[in-house]
Amino acid sequence: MEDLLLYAVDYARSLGAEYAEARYHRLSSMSITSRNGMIIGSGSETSEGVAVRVMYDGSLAFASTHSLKRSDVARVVEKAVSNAKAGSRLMKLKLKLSDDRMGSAAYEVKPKKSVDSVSIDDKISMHKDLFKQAQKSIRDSSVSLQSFIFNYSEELEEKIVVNSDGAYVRSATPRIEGFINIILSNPQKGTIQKWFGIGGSGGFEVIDESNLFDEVANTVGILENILLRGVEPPKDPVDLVLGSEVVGLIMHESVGHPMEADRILGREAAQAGESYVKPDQVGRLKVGNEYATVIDDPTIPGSLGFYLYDDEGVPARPKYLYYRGVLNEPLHNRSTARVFGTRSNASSRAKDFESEPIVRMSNTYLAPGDRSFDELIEDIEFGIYIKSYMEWNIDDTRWAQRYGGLEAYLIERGELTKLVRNPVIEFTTGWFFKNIVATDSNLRFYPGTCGKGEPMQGIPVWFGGPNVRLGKIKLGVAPK
Amino acid sequence: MIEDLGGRVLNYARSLGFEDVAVETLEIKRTMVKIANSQPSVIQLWEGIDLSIYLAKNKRILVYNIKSDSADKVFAGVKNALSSISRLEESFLYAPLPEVDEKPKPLDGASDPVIRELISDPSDLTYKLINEAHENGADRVAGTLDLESVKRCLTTSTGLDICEDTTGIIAYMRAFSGDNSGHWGYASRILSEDEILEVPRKASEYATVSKGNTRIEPGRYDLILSPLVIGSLSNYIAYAASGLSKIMGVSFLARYRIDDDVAGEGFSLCDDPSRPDLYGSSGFDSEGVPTVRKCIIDSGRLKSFLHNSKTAAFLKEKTTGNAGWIMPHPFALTIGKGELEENELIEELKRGLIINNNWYTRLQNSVEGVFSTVTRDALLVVENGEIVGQSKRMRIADTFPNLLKNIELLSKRLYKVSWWEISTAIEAPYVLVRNINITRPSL
Repeated sequence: MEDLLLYAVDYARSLGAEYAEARYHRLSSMSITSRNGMIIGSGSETSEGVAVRVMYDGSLAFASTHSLKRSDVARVVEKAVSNAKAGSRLMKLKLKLSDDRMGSAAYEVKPKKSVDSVSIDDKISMHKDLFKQAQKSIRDSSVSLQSFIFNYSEELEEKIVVNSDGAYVRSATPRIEGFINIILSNPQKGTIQKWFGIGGSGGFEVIDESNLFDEVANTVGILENILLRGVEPPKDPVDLVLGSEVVGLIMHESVGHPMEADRILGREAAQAGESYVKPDQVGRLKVGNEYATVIDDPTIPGSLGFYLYDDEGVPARPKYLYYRGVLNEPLHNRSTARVFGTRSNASSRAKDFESEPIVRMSNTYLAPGDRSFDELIEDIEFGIYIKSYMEWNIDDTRWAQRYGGLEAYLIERGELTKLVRNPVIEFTTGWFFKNIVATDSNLRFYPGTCGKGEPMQGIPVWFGGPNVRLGKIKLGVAPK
Repeated sequence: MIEDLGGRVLNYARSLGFEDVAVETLEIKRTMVKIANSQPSVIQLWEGIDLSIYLAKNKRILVYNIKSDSADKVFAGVKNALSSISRLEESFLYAPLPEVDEKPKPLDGASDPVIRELISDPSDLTYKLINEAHENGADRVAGTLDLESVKRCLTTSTGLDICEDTTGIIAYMRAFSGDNSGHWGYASRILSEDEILEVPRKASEYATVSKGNTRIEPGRYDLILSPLVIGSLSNYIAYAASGLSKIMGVSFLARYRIDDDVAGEGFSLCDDPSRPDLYGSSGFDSEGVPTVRKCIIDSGRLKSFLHNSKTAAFLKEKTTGNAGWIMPHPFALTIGKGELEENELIEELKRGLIINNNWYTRLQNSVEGVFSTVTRDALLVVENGEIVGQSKRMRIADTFPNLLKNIELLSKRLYKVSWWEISTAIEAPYVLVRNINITRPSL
């Protein structure tokens, strides 16, 4: 395979490309989906092929083929170079790449417990047992489990990246994910719904270590309580405490995305949008207080966004996107790094062989503090703790955002008391980061699939953070 | 080539003992020019073969997807599926692949030689699109031009063996002028130069509306939703009408019975795979059932859910020719037109907002249809039937049942649109909807 990729790179260079990159990329996956413990079916997928990216006179072109034949790879190389040449006449600002140390390495994530060591029978039993767990967690006879959907998936991603600047990186990363949708209903109170998931790189230990059965039991119990006993959100402004699930999402949406350098430079302007960050503000503008340190780190073992080298062959490292409130370091590939006069920080990833590598997050989180949760809320006279969410969205510059709270509690005299149904918060990124009062030490991560690019590329990530205490906010309520 | 591959895979799967087999092969040639800052940021090319293989044995179901033209690799995957499927349990959704009385026909006139030619070199059309945006006042423009040619073949164990050639073009552009932006899209199987050049023109038109900024307070407003906005929201309605959404218990349409009033009486949302000009159209679904036009909502009344043979059997209905082996889906959506010119719609609005575009629609509760979505690009303020100002980035935060019931008027002209937020392309008018909740952050 290496020979085929090196041939593609050399052939592109011989056709005039100033830069060439070839990637062998294979994804193999299996999933099982059930409703109410009953299996719908199984899906499996194999995606394997070669991706080629070339640059000619500052113009970039990408082409891919599922074929591993030399003649077919040569043909897509020729077309990529031809397209780059055709595009170069429309280029006013020519693309260039930063000078980076290229990786020469091979690595793999070794599962502690191979997915093959767990039988399909056991994987199916997990579906049934989780449903039973959900059923028996309902206490009140007036509440019914309207829908319990579970999707289990396992995947192996294998890649070899070579380029004309000397990169050679071979990697293999297995991943496991599980997603659950629970809907409870009551004739008088209506319905309540929660989607949540677990996921990480590795083998079946991701499931074993996730406490998924406890999560299901706990979630059903809480949803039932909210449905039956949840109170209306308070009308006056209250102190706000957000749970790590909400905080993690905020880090992803309002720091990770706007700190993608390609977005800052307008490359994603048509669809994914732009950024509140302007290029000349990086390293200068303070948007938050001393608690606002946000990190994107692909090197966290076991994480869903794990990698050690990106798809341009650059060695990965943690990136401090915000540091103590200052816009510190955007996520870069080699093209954006060149524009910013810096080096790539290895943020270039592609979903599969049919995808160009673009700037992506990996595992994005708010730095935790050193308090306990009790210390975080002990002096709050009257407030709200929004621990989880369902609905969320943010504008296309990543400034104004909304979260529909799901598990939420009143805080009265320093203690969690009544459950609150459907509180809604809307604020700006600036408000959030300037109004952090304290963070606790309970750093927790959540799995997600991040969408970006044209065509859309969904890639696995984690996002996380501690519980965060903020200033006062006036709450909304979900429409009825 | 792919005609042979489908048959060989089918025969191999049958020889292994699979009872129901369907092999869908796509031979794809596709080019996409991505535009940013008024120049191409990358030109992408794909040539490949996608196989989707439906396998069932003893009522157990497995779907295998592979991108390959290598029979050996595909056979290996199918053989592997045999060992997996024997360990599964019976699917509660299983129904045999349908025997069709009338053999489907491939769609005529859905392949455009001009698009096939453009796939080889889209640079002239790219230049025209960028130039048209600038000539209409944009400072800069971003977008994509996406061109495809697809041969789709379906071979089934019920004896069907059929192929269909289609082309497709999707273009969307976002024009910027100072702090303002406008967005438009276009999707079709057949290229119309007039319609595609309307994309940069309309995007620029919205970007260059020179009205002062007006702060809008949260509250209930009457709205005109552009075809992009009602097209995006109608995708959620259409997927809520999928039979599988109903079975899974996640659809806000499941509470209604057929013929219930669910929307304003002028509103009709239909799936029309039979129109060769609509992007996504096809003569047959993935089970080989001939496709037909059917309305999900007709003149405000719920008329049909979308079914494949499985969801139809489970719900004691008939297939609507919308397979998806597991998930029934719309092919090509249309909203019926109204009677008003667009300026007349603004006069009827009297006071309210015109929303050019939206994104990031999320549901707090899919059963009750509680959602919010963020407006983007032009958000125009109307007083006394005239555009008097503009605002930015408000949210629609309401429920789908409310939204549907409050649709009052529609424009005459229909636009074929698609973009990120419109996964199934749609032909849609402007829509006037009354009394919708609008929010914005106060902090």
